Amino acid sequence: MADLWKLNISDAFDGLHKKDFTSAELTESCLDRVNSTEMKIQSFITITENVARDSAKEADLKIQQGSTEYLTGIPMQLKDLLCTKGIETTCGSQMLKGFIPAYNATVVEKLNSVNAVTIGKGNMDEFAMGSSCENSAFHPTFNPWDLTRVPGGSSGGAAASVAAGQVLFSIGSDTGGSIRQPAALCGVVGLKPTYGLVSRYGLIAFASSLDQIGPITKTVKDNAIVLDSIMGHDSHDATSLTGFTNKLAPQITGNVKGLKIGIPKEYFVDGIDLAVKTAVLEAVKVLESLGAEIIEISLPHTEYALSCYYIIAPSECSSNLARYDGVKYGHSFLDTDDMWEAMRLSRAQGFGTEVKRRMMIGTYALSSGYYDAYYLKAQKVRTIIKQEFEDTFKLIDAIVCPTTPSVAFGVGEKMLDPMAMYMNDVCTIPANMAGLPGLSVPCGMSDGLPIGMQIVGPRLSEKTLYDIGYAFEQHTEWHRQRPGL
Amino acid sequence: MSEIDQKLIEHLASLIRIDLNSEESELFAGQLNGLVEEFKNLQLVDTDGVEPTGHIGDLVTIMRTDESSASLDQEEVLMNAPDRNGMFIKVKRVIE
Repeated sequence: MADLWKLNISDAFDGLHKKDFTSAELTESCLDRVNSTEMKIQSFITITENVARDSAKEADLKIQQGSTEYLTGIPMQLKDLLCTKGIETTCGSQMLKGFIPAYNATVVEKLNSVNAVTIGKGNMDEFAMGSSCENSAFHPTFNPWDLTRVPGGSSGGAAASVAAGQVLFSIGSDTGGSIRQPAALCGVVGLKPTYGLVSRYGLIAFASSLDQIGPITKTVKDNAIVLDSIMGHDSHDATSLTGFTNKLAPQITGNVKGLKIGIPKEYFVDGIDLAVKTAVLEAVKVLESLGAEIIEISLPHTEYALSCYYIIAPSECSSNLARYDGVKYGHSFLDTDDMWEAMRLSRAQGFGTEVKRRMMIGTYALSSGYYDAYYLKAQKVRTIIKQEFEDTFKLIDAIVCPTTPSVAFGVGEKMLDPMAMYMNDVCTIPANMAGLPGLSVPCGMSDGLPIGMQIVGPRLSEKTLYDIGYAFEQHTEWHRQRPGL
Repeated sequence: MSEIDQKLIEHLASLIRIDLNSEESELFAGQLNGLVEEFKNLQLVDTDGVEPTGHIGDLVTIMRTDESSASLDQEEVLMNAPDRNGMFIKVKRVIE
């Protein structure tokens, strides 16, 4: 059976259940696709062929026995910061090279329980710090649309693998845009769910008040299908929300008639490429033609979100990453009797440049004499940003804006200038600051590279975001574009 | 005037317990000054009377029932320890 790897989840589900093909065949097709493309894009840190084949066999048995779970037998990639029992989990860092978790992240547990097929672990910027996937300690990932460009980050492997057809979906994480930005740059669909909707248990922490796990898929409906499988309360995560168990995929209508969609002018300013602005505004016209009410709005504190984020996230990371002491697990410098020297050298050797830089920034912002001026100030500005969104969402249902300021940039282009790299997250960060859901869908092309439209709504408005994305998808062809790998 | 000098870089490195080489120290001093300069725009925001947000959401203290449950497998947990002595993790001497 040829080219099964080209299917999306919904179509693969139909094929599996009509017995047109088996999960074993679908899995082989994806593994073949990995074989023929991985040399070019390098989206994986670990490929788990044997796990995948065993899991596909079990899935086929489940389907024979009448399993109706959407993801049974569907090949996927898991970002390498999700703990997978018995499978190396590196977080893209030398610090965790060789680390074999003793348990599964809750998300992995949920996906395993329905026999989704793990093809492997996705490449990422080290500890999810980066916007280009070039900070991986092992190798960069390249954009399937143009191998001289980055796929975005930090979930660069996750987005590239879906765009290249190596897997039917992937799981990423998003602290300041790490799902939506690479999804936009690779021309696929990515959701950062409402903070707390998906359990973070077993996610290797970066900035705990901002981190959220979410799906990357080929279509909007597929995205809802994966979210349905991974969301829900988890007693292992004290921040996980309770009471949201209704599945979203069956509820998506694509009806946007009467929805009030805000276009925030601060997201269409200088610094956002003309091609991106034009594509997103064209997309807005499509939504308007489908009956949505388009309203120009202003979110005046947007310009402060980037500074705010790059103080708060590094502060939280400098605290979270204190756990890597070279004693319990992780890289260890053993050739000394002095415990402090062992710790300093373990950390010096185990962490890469960006991770060290962020710990330095965070420690600076938290240290006495600077705390009030930076960390506390940033937390107060965060309150204002959050409040501004809450006030706005009393008047409108969702916001539509660009996901990224530009299309995918060149490999190496921004590695020497941290601020230029951080600017990539300027459109995605505000949603994290306020814990809001954000969906990126493909909405255009420029110079052969994909452009993403971002839809942001109030907390727990995922259904509305999916309706808007689905409506757009039903009336355009951008989501069908695939790179010619 | 740069706010972050070599002395402060060394202090911060000691707080995060990382030995930086001279190349990294120099690089970070320059870059941190640049970033701190960018961050100064926050001072333009009037935050008088604004409460800080440390966390989104309405967190409540969660209590669980006092029931025992299975723990992780000891060998699987200790397998990742860099230096071991049987079922113990070996650490450097802490008290001289």
